[in-house]
Amino acid sequence: MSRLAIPVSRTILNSTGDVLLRAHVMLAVKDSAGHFTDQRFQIDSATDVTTFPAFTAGQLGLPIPINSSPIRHNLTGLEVRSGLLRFRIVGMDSTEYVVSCYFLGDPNTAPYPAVAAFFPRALLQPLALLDHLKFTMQKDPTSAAIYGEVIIDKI
Amino acid sequence: MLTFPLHNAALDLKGKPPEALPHGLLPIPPEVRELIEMERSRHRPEAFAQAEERLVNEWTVHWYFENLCQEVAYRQTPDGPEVLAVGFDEVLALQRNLPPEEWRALKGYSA
Repeated sequence: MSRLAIPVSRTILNSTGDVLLRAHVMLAVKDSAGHFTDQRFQIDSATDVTTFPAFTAGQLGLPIPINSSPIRHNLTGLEVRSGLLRFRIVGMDSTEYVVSCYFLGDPNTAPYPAVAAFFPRALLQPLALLDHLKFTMQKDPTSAAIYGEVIIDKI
Repeated sequence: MLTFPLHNAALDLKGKPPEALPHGLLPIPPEVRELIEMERSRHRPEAFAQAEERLVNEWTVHWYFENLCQEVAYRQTPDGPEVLAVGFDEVLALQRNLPPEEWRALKGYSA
């Protein structure tokens, strides 16, 4: 049995005062040579497919398709390379997982950070892992995780 | 009493390259301290005491890097975050130069 508790982080959108609640998980992503590198992903059940910046994938030597898919990513308008992401979850056992992944943007050009809405992000779609992992959200008011936590349990 | 919108440090840093963004021990802005005090009353004291250092660090990094679309690696300290690397290149170089256990003791931010 392997379990990871991730505290929810809360920040304020300084322009409006709205509350932002997020949970990030560190994944050790596997490159073409079989080496692992830690990368931080936001857990996001609203993303259609797990996403990762194609430029970062290229720099890390992750296996990504040479040609882009005949679609664009709806939210960012970026080109898409539809592939697979292999990873371990840092803090859990050494089980390797594989999920479908959209590698976003041009792998040869660093993303331009001027417009946040068009910036490719590392988002993990947890629903793709439910054969292997259970995701639970909970809050214990006596805990240091005062905004709650996401628990990942290996099934 | 804080009123929104707040003019955070990130607004003045937009468009700068990673090497020109703040590094080292970041001063905790008075606005972050005020937000922390507003938040304190909403939680059980013992739970908030355990979380306070993490919040001060996370919210300070957010104050300086919100919406800059840069990865940040920092060390959480009682005096605020110590930023060790900003941007993909610096973060990857740091990761490759540190033993895994030291790297995994650091905190990350991206937004």
